[in-house]
Amino acid sequence: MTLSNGVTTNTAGRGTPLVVAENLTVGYELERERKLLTALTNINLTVHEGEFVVLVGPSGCGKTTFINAVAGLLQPWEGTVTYQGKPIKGTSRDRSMVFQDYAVMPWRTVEQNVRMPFEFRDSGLSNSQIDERIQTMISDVGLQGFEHSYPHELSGGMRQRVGIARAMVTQPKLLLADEPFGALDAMTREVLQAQLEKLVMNAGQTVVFITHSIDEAISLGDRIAVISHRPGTVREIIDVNIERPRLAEGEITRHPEYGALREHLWGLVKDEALGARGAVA
Amino acid sequence: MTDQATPEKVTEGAAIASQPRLRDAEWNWQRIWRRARYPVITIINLSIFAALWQWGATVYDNANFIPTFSSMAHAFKIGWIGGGADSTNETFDLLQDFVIVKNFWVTIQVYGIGLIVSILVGIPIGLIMGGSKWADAILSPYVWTFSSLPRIALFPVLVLFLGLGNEIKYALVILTAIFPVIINTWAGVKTTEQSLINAARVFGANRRQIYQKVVLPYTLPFVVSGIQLALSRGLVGVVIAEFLTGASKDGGLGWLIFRAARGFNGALTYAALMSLAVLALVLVQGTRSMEAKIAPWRQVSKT
Repeated sequence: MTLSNGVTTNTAGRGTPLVVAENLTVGYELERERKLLTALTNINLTVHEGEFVVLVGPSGCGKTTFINAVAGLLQPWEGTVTYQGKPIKGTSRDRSMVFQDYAVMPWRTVEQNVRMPFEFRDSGLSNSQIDERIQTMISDVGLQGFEHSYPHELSGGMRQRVGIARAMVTQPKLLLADEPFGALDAMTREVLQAQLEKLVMNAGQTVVFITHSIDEAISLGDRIAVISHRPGTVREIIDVNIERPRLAEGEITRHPEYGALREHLWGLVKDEALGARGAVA
Repeated sequence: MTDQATPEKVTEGAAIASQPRLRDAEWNWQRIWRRARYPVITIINLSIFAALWQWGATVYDNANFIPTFSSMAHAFKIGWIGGGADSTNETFDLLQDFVIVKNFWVTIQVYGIGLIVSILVGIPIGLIMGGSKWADAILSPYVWTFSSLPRIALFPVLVLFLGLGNEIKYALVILTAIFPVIINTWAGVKTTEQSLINAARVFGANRRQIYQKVVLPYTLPFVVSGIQLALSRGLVGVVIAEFLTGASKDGGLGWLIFRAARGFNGALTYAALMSLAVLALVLVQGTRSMEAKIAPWRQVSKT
């Protein structure tokens, strides 16, 4: 276990940098109160190709804002965030996203939801190739037989499988996941974590993943960035040197590194959670 | 999607198989009752109501105010399918063959055209207000003022411009029906979930596609409930307009109710009222099932 701070992380042995945030400050407008809210300040973080980076921090610390900035839904106020060396302006087919509240279209069937990315951007694939892609992706997430079901007929876990299939069907370079399992029950969450790990390993997928669960962070992340309470900043970046697959079989919690990692992370996150409460009071 | 065992499943148990005949018979009766209970209860319920009405009217003994159920039914029959109006004096007796049908169609025409105009004009206005901040800022004072104002208060002013013919009836239907359509459409556009819009943006939708593929389908059930409101409000509008315009002959169901009551023809008054109630009931129930078909996801999330 190596501990390091901010951009000074030792990058030896990692892939080429894919996303680089430098002194990034970004927020959003509270429309009702007509004021700007700084969500993140002075963020320095590099995501390398093939890496699974998890952002963990107390709720309301601006993790979602970071992922929205990387997706291209928000523009930086200060500093830069680049993708393959170029500043991020708008969304791109290279960067896909899984949403906290699933964000599947309730009036579309599973199949139609997964087809959505192909409707808005030309993939260069023929119709039959697209059909095949969709079919394969739907079975990869375990939804075969539910192609023509509507989201309201599915459980929360199944809806998020639709969300994952929709995000991965175009084989994006970068997968952004905004607390995708936060609303699910513990059992469903573990099943989906294991499935996501398998999908990500098979595809060699680069992932930026948000959670407020320490266990989820250790289970999934190659590196974990601990974000402080709002306005959020990177407090510490921690490497997780536990070999994969971690969730396919056996208990990851029995791994010798697990306890120490968890304790260390909890120490950091507890401070932040208490700090956030103090700031509100 | 409940996990509760259905009765069919329960009866598959081994203990039941030992006494198949008796159990089967019992089970069939139960099943028939379960299917038929609501219509049966409704029929019994309405029969009791009719009987109480008949009895009450006989005791009260003033056919001008409360006719007996049977005389109301008689007037209903003459008004709808004709055959045997008692009076020979057409000038003084309203209860002529087919009188309800004639007036029913007068009402339906004004109401229907007024509603279609309200829907065709109201939806685009709501969409534009929801989609453009400028349009919203410019139009909303008028929309909210008119929708809050009791529309009937405009009647004296409208009379000056439109007279007492059909025009003022159309005007009143449109004025009562259009605002629920506008406001509901606007609300649908405004409340479209941000995460759905974000998802469409992430997957490459441009402004037009977001509107077409996210905002419009999201708004559709809102439009349907707007139309539902418009149906009931518009009916109020047309009936009041018919009360106030006072045609000499066949001025619609509202006119018929008003005239019949004024002429102390209790049976016809109630028969016409009953026709109006049935119309309203059919419309409301019809649009209810329409909503369930158009947006099944909303039905489920409500429960």
